[in-house]
Amino acid sequence: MAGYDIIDEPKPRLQENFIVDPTVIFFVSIFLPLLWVPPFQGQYWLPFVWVIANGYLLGSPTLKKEIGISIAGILLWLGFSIGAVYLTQLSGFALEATAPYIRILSKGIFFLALYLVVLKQSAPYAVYSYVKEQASH
Amino acid sequence: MDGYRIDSIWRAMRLGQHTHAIDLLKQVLADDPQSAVAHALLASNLIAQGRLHAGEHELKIALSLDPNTAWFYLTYARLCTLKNRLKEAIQYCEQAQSLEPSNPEPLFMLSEIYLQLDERQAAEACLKEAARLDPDSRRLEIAFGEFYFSGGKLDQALQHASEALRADAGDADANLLMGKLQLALGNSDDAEYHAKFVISNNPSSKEALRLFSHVKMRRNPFLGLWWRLNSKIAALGNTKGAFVIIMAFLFFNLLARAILDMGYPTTSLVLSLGWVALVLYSWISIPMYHRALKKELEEFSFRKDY
Repeated sequence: MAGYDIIDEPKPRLQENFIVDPTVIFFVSIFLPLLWVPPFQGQYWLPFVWVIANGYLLGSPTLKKEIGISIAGILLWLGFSIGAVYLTQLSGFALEATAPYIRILSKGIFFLALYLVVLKQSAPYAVYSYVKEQASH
Repeated sequence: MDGYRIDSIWRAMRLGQHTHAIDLLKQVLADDPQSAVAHALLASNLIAQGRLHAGEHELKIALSLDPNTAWFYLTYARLCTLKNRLKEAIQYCEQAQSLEPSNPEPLFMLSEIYLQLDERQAAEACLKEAARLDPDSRRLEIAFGEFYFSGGKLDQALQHASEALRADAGDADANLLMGKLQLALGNSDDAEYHAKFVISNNPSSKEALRLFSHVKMRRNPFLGLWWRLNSKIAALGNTKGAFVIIMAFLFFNLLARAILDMGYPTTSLVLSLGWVALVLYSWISIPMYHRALKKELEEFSFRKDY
């Protein structure tokens, strides 16, 4: 709809064919590592890169917040993983014994951050879908 | 705004067609960006769609253009209640009241806010003041009904709901109140009747759809559990809801791992399977719930002008 712009309406860029529903990114990041593990622990940071690229293409009005949550999430995940391994060694526990717990907790941090970013992007995506649907009629 | 556009916008809003109303208001604002009323109406529609951030932005513009219209403040108060900024909502209601001292609407809203704050005496005082200002207001019976319903006094609430329906059997709020009461009294058929009545007049009524869903879920234990879980998590808001879900994930997985390390592999397996079952249940329930609701709604006959 031409004319007045509402602030929460996304302004998609030219490559809008690449825009996906952010929940798809969330589900892919859950299931893909069961089949293929990306190098350099990519399963923990690639989804954030994807969701930010998606937000950029979408012209998401909340892109800055999405980037902020993503960076905070990656830093928290990284800090926790390194800190937990360091603490384990410092306290004399065997890393083999604590590793499964560290892995579960780090997954918790990762999914929490990703879930929050996806939720943030879902609102502009819903508005984008609606506007696109209206334009096609 | 010209008369034809105003009529079209009000008609769309009355029928709950907020997306259509927004499109019309965007056209109006493209022609006249200084129209405070158009900004405020746009805000109302955006709020109805749950787009609170954009709604607040539009309300700020409306108030900067015209700070002397009471219903702008009332709309802002409504927005603040939805954002759980109740103290701020009280301030906006009071501003609306100072602009229109003879209008009982700010008092009705204040009463709702005080009920949310669990300040029942203040809520009752507002309703009594509203009754003094406009003893014939149709809203009065409904507001008192809601007041007693929230306090668990179902008999008194029922009396007021019946009175409201006697005055206007087609009133949506009166029907919703009666529906909620009937459900609380265990009469789900009656509750369904009132919910269906409101939906047939306004298929976008969130309150009516919620009541209808409550009725359906009450009758279906499998989906009812999911509905209650989902409602509780949704009521927490996005961030807290996400925390709860992740905590559940951590609790199940850490416990299963700890039990495995203690030498109980079978118990650990059962716990892990329990988590998988919970995840599957929450996934399966969503399409099942939507399908059930859609099937029911397809049987509705809506009013002709919808």
